[in-house]
Order: sequence, then C-alpha cells, then structure tokens
Amino acid sequence: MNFKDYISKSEIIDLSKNLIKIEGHKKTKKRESEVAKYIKNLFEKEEIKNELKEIEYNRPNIYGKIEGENDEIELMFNGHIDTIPGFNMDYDPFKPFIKENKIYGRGSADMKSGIAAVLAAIFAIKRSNVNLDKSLFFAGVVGEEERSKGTEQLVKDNIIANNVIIPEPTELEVSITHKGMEWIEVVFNGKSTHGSKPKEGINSIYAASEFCNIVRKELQEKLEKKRSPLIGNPTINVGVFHGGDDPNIVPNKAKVQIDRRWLPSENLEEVHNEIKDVAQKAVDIIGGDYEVRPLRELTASMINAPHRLNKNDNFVKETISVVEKVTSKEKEAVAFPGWSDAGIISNQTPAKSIILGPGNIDQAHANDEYCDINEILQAAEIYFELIKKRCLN
Amino acid sequence: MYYIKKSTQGWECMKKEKLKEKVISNFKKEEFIDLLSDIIKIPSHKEVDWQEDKIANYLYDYLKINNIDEVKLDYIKENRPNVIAKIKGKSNGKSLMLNGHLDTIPPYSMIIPAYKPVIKNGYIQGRGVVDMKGPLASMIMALTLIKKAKIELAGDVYFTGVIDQEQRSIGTVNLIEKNLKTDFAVVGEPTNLKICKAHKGMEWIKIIVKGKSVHGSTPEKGYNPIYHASRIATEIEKFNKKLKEKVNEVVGYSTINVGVISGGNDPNIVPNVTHLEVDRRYTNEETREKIYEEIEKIIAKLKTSNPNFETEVIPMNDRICPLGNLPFHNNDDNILFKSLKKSTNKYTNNESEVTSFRGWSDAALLDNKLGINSVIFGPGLTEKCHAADEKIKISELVKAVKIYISLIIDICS
Repeated sequence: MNFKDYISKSEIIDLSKNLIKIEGHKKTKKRESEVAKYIKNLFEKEEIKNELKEIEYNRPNIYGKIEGENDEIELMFNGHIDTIPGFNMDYDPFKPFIKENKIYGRGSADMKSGIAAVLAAIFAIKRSNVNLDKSLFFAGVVGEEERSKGTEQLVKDNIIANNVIIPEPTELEVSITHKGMEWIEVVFNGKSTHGSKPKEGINSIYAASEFCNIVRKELQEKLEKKRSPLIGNPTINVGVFHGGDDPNIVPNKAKVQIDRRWLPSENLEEVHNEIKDVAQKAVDIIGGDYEVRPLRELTASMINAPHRLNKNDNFVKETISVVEKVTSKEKEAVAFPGWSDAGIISNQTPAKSIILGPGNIDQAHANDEYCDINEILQAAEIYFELIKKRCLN
Repeated sequence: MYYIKKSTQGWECMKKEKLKEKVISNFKKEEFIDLLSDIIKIPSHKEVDWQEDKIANYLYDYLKINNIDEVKLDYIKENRPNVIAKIKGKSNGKSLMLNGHLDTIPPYSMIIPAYKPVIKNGYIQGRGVVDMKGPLASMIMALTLIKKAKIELAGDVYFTGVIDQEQRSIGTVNLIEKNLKTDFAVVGEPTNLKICKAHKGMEWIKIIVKGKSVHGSTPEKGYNPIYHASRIATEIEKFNKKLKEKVNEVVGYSTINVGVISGGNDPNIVPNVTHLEVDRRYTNEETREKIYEEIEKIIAKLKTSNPNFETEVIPMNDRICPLGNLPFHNNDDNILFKSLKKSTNKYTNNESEVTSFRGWSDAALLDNKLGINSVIFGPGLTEKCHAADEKIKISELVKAVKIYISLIIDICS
C-alpha cells in the first residue's frame, strides 16, 4: 500500500494553498467557520463520516472519522484551524504563492500546511479502501491561537484518543514535551499629580520600570538555573508595558503583561509568587502598591499547562522510526519550543501526544511566513504510515 | 527744575487717580455677571465642533456693541479665530496688550455642571471660570468701561482673545506672525492676583526605543525594547533627583517626568518598539539644546552596555507650541509692576507679591518672540485650573476689573 498511489503532490499543495486562502482568525466575522466548512465538504466528497460541532457562533470544530472494527479512537490528529490575523505581513497574507519550493501565506507554517498533510494522509487511507482495525479521528479545532476552546470542547465532550498527533510546525522533529504558558498582569498603583511637580506624586511607570529591571537582572537568571534536559529553562517575557496618557501627568497606573513559560517541574503558585516578589521589590524602591493576576480571560480556562511524554514510550519510538524512514534522517525526541493543545490533552485525558508537523516554528506568526513544500509532502507520508502502523493490526 | 518736575508728577498722578475712580464708578456687577455667565455657557474646547468659534463671535459682538474702536476676528483655521480689539490712543504713548485664551479644557470628569454658571457662596462655577473665562470677562469689562468713560488715551490698548492655549498656542503664535507688538502685556491667567514675572519652559519629548521582535516563548532570541525603555525611565527618574539640586531663585528647580510609556500588544511577543513621553520643565539658565543633549547623554551611556537597541529622541511637535514652550523671565521692575503692585495693594488690602507662575503661559511667547514686556496677572487660584469643581470668587474678579482699569490708565494715558 503506497501513499503516492492515492494522492498526488499537486493535490497536497493545492490543499495547503486553498486552506491558506480561507481566512480563519479573530479579525474576520466568519471566524473559523469557512475553514471548517471547506474541510467538511472535502470529507463529504471523500465519503468520510464527519461532523461540525459549533462551539460559539461561527466557531465550529470539524471532526472526521474513519471507523475501525473497534470504536475506540486509536489515533487522533488534532490540528487548529485558526491562524493569527494577517497583521503587517510582507505580502498579501491570504493569497498564497510558491517561491523556491516554499508556500508563502498566513498560516502556511502555523498550521494549515500541517492540516493539509493530515487531510492528504486520511484521504489516501480512505481511497485505498483498506479496512482499519482501529478508529482514526480528525479534529480540526478552533481557537488555539486564543484560548483553546476547540480542544477544551473535545475534552468536555469526552472525545478521547489513545494517541494524538498535533501537526504544529516542528520541521518534522518528533516533539514530546513543551512548557506551560501562563499570562500574568501586574498593575502598579502610584499617586497622580501634575507633571511639573513630579516629586509630589508616585510615578507608577517608574515602579513598573524597576519591575522590568529586576525581571531582567534577577528573575531571568534564576529561571535559567532551572534548566532541565530536553525542555530547557523556563522563560519570562514582558510583552506589554503601558502607563499614562499625557506627558505632563504623573500617572497613577501602569501595567505590564507577562508571558511566563513554565516547566512540568514547576507549579503555578510558585510562578505567581516569583512575580509578586519582584513587584514587591519594585514598590519598595519607588512606592505605591501592585496587583498580580493571571490573564485567564485571554488564556485557556483549563490552564495552558506544560506537556510531557516519556521518550521511551512505544508511540514515541514508533513515530521516530516512521519519520526516519520517510525522511532518511536519524531522529530523536525533542522539545517543542511553543505551547500546543497537547498541554490540554495530556493533562486532561490519558492520551499520549506528539507534536510533529511541517514548517519551522520561527515562521509561525512571522511577517514572511512560509512552509517548505518537501516537508509538507513528507509529513503527509509520515502521517499515512503512522495510521497504517497504529490502526491496522 | 526738580521741584517743577515733582509737582507735575504729583498733579499727573492725582489726575490719573481721578480718572480711575471715574471709570470704575461705571462698573455694574450685574452687567459683569451677565457677561461672564454668557461665556461660561459657551463650550470652547477641542471636543466641540465649533471649537473657539462661538465664544469668539460672542465676544466680537459684545465688543462691537460697546463701541470698541477696532474689533476683528482673525481666523487661523476653520472655526478657530482670535478676537482682536483695540482702543486707539491719541499720540505716541505706551501701548498695552491684555491677552487671554478663549479655549478651555474639555469637561472630563467634572463633579459640577460644566456649562451652567451657578453662583454659590460668592463663587461662580463651571468649566473654564478660572482658566480663564473669569479673567477674560474682567479684561473685557475693563476695556469696555474705559471706552464708556470716553477718556483720551495716549497709547493703544489691545485685547487679544487667543485660541489654542491649552494645546499648542497657535493663537498667540499668530499674533507673533502678524507682529502685533505693544510695549507691555498682561496675560490674564489665574495667579490669585499675584504678579508672576517668570515661569519655566516646557518641552515634551518622545523617546522611541527599537529592539528586535521575536516570539515570547524564546525571548532570548530578541531584544526587548520594553526592558531598554525601563532602563531609560529609571535613569530619567534619577536625573530628576539631580535636577532638584540646582535651584533657580525665581522659578525653583527644573523637573523631568515620564508621563507615558507604551510598548507591545501581546504578552507572547517581544515587541519591536516601545516609546516614552517625557515632560521636561526648564529654567532660563537652560536651553532646549542642552535639554536634548542631556537626554542623549543618558541614552548614549545606556547604549554602550546595550548596543542592540536603537533609540530616537524627538520633540513632540504635534503636541507642543510650534515656536517652543520657552521659559519666561521678566526682571524689569517697571511701570507694569509698579501699577499692578499699587492697585493690588489698594483693592485687595494685601501686600502684592511678585512670584513665579506654576504652569506655562503665552507670556513666554509675547516676551521672547515679540520683546513685549510682559507679566502674568489674573484672578483665581492656579490650583483650581482644570479642577473637577472649577470655581472662582466673584469679588476677586471685580478686583481684577479695577486693577486692569488702573493699569490701562497708568500705562496708556
């Protein structure tokens, strides 16, 4: 049973391009609905059982299933169908084009090419008319770029698989672990006064600046010491800093928003306490007070927890051998630098999750986002082989 | 000769005092309250479509009806006219300008009705009564009473009702472009009837810090401009402490304040740019060039240990006066001061004080750019400018009318 007999390269490339053309992000009114419908139509055409599960208005997950003898889902492909908005891309974000064997466009790496490769593998299996022993499931989920509501719905609906592949861009590396992601806001309260008498007030911008200084000088260093093999060290990033409206006012409020990537060996209480300590030091220097809170309204309600799978697990070993065979390169398990829905799946269900897909994580969200076409084609073949391995006896 | 001169002076003086009494005797409080109430009712700020147009037209009509010799509206932009009025002097006597701004700040979060002139416990309230519709009414009343008394003036008296002082002072800038030069000027900002002969300059400066944007999960691959902006803010705070050590005997010490910082939209992105907005108050012992040099020095020092950040320091030209908000210092103890001191003593029973003004005013433009010998003098507490319960004592406004009348007579007759 040979993958290439059932689907052509050009069909796979077209799949990827078509997916990129259909906008599915928070800035379009239709949200992910058009992407989901496009995939649904493909499933219909291939006569694959499918379902749209609307989570919010215009925000459906799209499911596809090829049933085996056994109803239990042996292998699930979980890919998010949303992207980030076009923002300031170097070219028209939703008009994909090919240059030097790369597909360019918003979502080409994160992760419409991954979805295209998965769909190609599933269609090839279906077209081969093979009868699966164990069930194969596709979950195109919404909102991974925001609060992971799509995958949370899967968990709530008890759609649980034994093994999960998440086709986030890993350049076809087998990624078995990643950090958790906690977003935290610190608001500094000072005392407002006219800017011509700064000493009469407490400038909250200065407190927040001291906070940033201490994060940079002390906390970052502390986090680097927590380094562990494979996953590396926890990180902290102050991504937002806003305070004041007018130069001539001493502002009484300044806020910073932080992205803190945490290890499976850490816990959230510890993470928040570290931030509080730094904030306390800052107000000890400048004055005023502070509040620390998780930005839960922007992140997953089930917590964007870390993900970890044992590298000696069978699923890992098997996946590595398939990737080695298709790519003719030696592989070993690595860590994924970002966060993925595996963080929810592996903490909320017994499933074993691996992140494996075409494209480079550095291209995700980039203004010149692209994905290597060879990687897309190889990914499709890898997925096809994995389905055979997992779902055929 | 000495005796003759002295007696002539004495006679002149008596004549002037009589003139003042004559003019002041025509003052009618109800008329004054009507004028003030009318202009309080007319919003004149940046958030109304007509901006200063309605108040300017009201004052134009008022001055016309009161037979002021020359009255005109100088439109600087659509809906934005200065009101220029003049009582002509007969000969080459000294000329005087009464300058007041027509605009106010928007009501924002006032705790009283902004445009309802309520009188309570001897105070009148509303947006702008202190800054500076009350002082404006006092100036206009002084002008019309002078005219009504039909006294012959030697020098010209101008009233310049200018737009935009709360923003970029393009109203008074226009006077400079038109070279409206007089010998003396009073800017009627509220000084609690103190003579303000100086204030600091004000410079608004934007500092743009550029780093390198990367995904927030790998912050070590980028250069976070938020961190560099924080370093700069911390250094600026230290610099403010240093500025405090050097005291100017008139205006006190210079200050610097970071009033705004803005960087990034998402926690998970290392942003590529962050900017700071800085308010710098400086004395006449400093220059704009020096101020920028100091900031550049702070930034250059930080750059040596953090070479990966690009920094740009630029004046916030879209928010400040196109001619610069220069410092104002008038050390010339002349008739302007003498007259104000004398009549303040007379009408307030207080020893008049010569001091500095807390904010920035158009006096800096008149003095620096036109060479007009200027002071800031007006009724109302500076602390009540922009206040949520802006209010002014009516009796103080009346005193101001009398003092302005006296000043016109002392200088121009």
